[in-house]
Parts: sequence; C-alpha cells; structure tokens
Amino acid sequence: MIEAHGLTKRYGDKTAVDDLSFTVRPGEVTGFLGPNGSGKSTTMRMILGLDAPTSGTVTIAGLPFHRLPNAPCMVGALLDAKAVHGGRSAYHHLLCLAQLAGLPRQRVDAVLELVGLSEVADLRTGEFSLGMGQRLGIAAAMLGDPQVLLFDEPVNGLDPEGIHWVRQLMRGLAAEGRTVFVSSHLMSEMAVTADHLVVIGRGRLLAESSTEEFISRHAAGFARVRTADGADQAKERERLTGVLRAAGGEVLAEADGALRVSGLPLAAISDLAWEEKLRLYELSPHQASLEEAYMQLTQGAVEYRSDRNAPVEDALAEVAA
Amino acid sequence: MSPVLLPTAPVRPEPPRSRLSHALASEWTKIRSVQSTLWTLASMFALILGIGLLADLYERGQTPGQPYLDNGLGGFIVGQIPVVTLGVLAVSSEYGTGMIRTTLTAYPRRASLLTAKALVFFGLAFVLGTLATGLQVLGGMVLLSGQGTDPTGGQILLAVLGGGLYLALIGLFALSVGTLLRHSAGALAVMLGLLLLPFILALFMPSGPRDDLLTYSPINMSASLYGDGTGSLGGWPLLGVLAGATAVVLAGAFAALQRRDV
Repeated sequence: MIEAHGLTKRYGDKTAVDDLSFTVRPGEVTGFLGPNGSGKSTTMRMILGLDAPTSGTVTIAGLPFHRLPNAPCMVGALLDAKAVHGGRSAYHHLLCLAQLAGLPRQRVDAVLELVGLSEVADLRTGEFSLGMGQRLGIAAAMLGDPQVLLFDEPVNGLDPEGIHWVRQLMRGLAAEGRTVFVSSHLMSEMAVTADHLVVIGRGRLLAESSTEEFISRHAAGFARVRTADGADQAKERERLTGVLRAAGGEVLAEADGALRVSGLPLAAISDLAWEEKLRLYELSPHQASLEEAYMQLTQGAVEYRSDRNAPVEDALAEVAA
Repeated sequence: MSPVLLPTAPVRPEPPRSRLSHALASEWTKIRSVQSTLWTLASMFALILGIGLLADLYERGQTPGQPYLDNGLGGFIVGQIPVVTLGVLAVSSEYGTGMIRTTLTAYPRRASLLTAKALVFFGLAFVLGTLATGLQVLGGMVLLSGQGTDPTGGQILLAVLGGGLYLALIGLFALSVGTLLRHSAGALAVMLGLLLLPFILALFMPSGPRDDLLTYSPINMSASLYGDGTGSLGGWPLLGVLAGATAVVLAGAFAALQRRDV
C-alpha cells in the first residue's frame, strides 16, 4: 500500500508536483498516467525517498521510505533501466544490490532466471540492448521479493514480445496480492494492464478511479449504425438521422456512410429504426478508448503547452507574411 | 524468451534489517568488479615502483655515500594521480551512470552508505599504497645498500607507512570532492589543481604566503615523507594536517549527501 498525502515538490518558483494525494492498493495494477513533464518521475522519486517533498508525506506500508527496516525486501523499483555502471557485469550489478539487502547469492541466480538473463550474466551491462537493460532493471527490483513494486515506464523501448512479457509479469505480481504501481504515457498499454488509474497533469491529480470507471466517465461510448445498402440508402440515412436526433441522440456521419450515434442505448436505436421500417445492416456498440478518455481529460495540459508556443507560431506567421 | 515463472514464496519470513556490514560487502563487490579499479591501481604500482627503481638503477655506480630513500619521491608524486582518480570515480561514477539512485533505493541510509564507501576505499588504498611504497623502498635497499647512505628505521617507517597513509588520505579527500561535485571530470580537475597548484603558485608569491603555500602543498607533504621537505612542519605532523583537511571535506560530503535530492 502506497499512500500520498498533499505531496508537493517545488523547484524555485516552478511547482513540479502540487498537493497530490492518492492511494495505491495491493492486489491490483495501478497505472500512473500523465503527459510528459507532468510530475510522474518526481512523484516516483519522492515515494522512494530520493527527493524530499517540499510539503506533504508519502508512505509505504505506513512508513516513510527511509524508515523501512530493509527497503529492498519491501519495495522494488525500476526507475531508469540505463542507470547501471556499463563496465560491471549483470551478475555483479545484481550481487552488489543483493548484498545491500543482506540477501544470499542464490537470489541473484533466481532473479536472473526469472527475467531470462542467466546466459548473459557475465556480460558487461554496457553491451546490453535496451530490452535486456529493462529486464535487468526488473531483476534488480525483484531481488528482495518485495510486496510493493514501482515501475517507471517499464515498456519503453521494448519489442512487442517484451511488452507482452512485462504485462504478464505485472498482472501476475498483482494477482499474487502485491502492490504494483506503473507509470506510463502509453494509454493503450495501461488500458490492458491497469485495474486502477491515477491520472495527473501539471503536477495535479486529475482523476483517481478504476480503469473502467475512468473510461466511462471521461469518454462516452457510441454506436455505429448503417442502413441497408441500395438506391435509397442516402434517403433512409437522412430519415434515420432525423428520428434519432428527435429522440435526443447525437448523430455524426462517418466517412464510409455509417452513422456514429451517442446518447441513445442500442435497443432504443433499433426500436426507432423498426418503427420507421428501416432495415439496419450494422448496429454495433463501441467503447471509447482509454486514449480518448485520457486526451479529453488532459486537454488542459495540452492547451497550456500550445498557448506557450503561440508567440513562436505568431512570429513564424509574420515571417511567412 | 517465453513468460517466466513468478516467485511465489517470500525469500524469508523475516528479512534482515539493513546493516553497515551489508553496505561494506556491497561496496567491496562494486569496487572490485569494474576495470577502472584495476587500471588505476596498476598505474599506481607502475609509477611508484617503476620510476623509483629506475632512479635507483641510475644511481648505481654514481657518487657513493648519497642518501637514496628519496629516489622514490618522483614516482610517489605522480603515483598519487591514479589513486585520486579512483577516489573520485568511487562516487562520481555512480552519479554519472545514475546507479546512485538504484543504490539509495536499495539502501536509503545515506550516511551509512558513504561510510561504507569511504571505509572500503580507504582500506584498499592504504593496503595497496603501503605495499607499493614498501616494495619501492625495499628495491632501493637491495640495489643501493652499501653504496649509498642507508635510511634509518624511522625514515623507512615514515616513507612506507606514512606513504601508504598519505595515498589513502588524499584518495579519501578525492572521494569526498567527488561526492560534493557529483561529476567525474569536474572533481578530477579540482583534485589535480589542489595537488599541483599550491606548489606552482608559491613560486610567484612574496615570501610570507609562499612559505605557507609551500609547507602545506601536497608536493611538499609528499617530499617530507621522503626526508626532502621544507618548512617548519614535516613528516607525521603534516600527515595530521592532511587527515584534518580530509575530515573536514568528508564531513561536508556527508552533509551534502544527507540534504540533497538524488
């Protein structure tokens, strides 16, 4: 369990994290979402006691990080896969971390096996690919078999197989009852991995809810409706549009001739069409993606950036004119 | 690679509490598992022993009756540079690679971690430094005994044990500067400046500041270990001054590491 209360971090007059409170529970994967520069990594560093908050607190199992009796046996973290000494072998990198926690050498062999790096254990980490580096970072996080795991952008630079592997690993860890906190800017990845979401923008909490609830609240679902093919198709489409709008639906024409309807349940659309004696060749439900929900929610942060670029764009326009 | 099995059983029901001995074991693994340690220490041996023995060989068959202990001084002065490099790298390479964040996540007791780093480095530098100065003095005695003026027991002790202590202290000073600056190149530049500049600047100073600069310059400290120093202080007392200065900078390093964000 990770609990943040009023977590704030200021650098001079710039506020990186602003009064952030959230809870990360055991037994599920919690996604930590936000645009670049929104304060995700700063928050991660404060959780791990690397950066001191300007105000507010964050605890793991009720204790601030530096008070944990043996941090690696309670918390495992992957912050930056490239943060290793490239001249040291994978084995020795993990060994020095295991020794810090007073763990036996067998744990090093065990985590190397876990991430599939046993055969390259004696290779210097500087020769590792990005994917191997991520696996090494995950191995380091797993050394103490911790109950709480933090991953900062763990699938960055991984190939599809690696992404699948990390996803399975995180789901598996959560299924074992562990607390898994994963930051990402890849919405599609979080949609299939995270049970719960903490979304931030410009250092502030924007939403904290289950993934499903987040999607349904921040992006409406819609139906795709297509009238029967034939000479009258265009006319029938117009008639249907009129009826649906009269019933309170929002109707948009799609490029392929179908209609995109929101605000009406599928059954109501079907009933209205039947009353009009219109045959439908398609009536399909569509779930708004997490990506759309996220874009909608974080629009503020994005617009903020556009505004800041505006003077540059104006200047460019002037030059062009 | 296919998805792998997950560990299900906890490592042990009661994890061991973090202890200094854990950090000592870890730092020993760290320092012995990178090539830079091997190269810097090999360079130290090559410079101290090589230059010293060359000077001894050159002196064979020359004017008899000369003291020969100070033949080791030239090699000792340049041999400090790799020790200082190793000291700087012991901490700054962790900042340069980002490893420091991994280390402090695994071991949040920062003061304890720096203590372990300092102890491991100091021990290694002292043992190998003393071995290098000892072998150099021994080589001189084998090559020149009977021809030149043999050093006294006290002089040998100062050159060998004092030399080892000096190397370990100056390296620990460098480790502290590396912790304060967190940047390899910057810390190395500062250390080279501290080693060489006081002696060079003294040449252009009026007599008052010149004498002080000379006395406390690392080059004169080194020379006094071999019986060649100038100024009012010499040998062991100057080592005491170096130990005091190192303690101050190390205390600064502890304070900075405790207070700063990583």
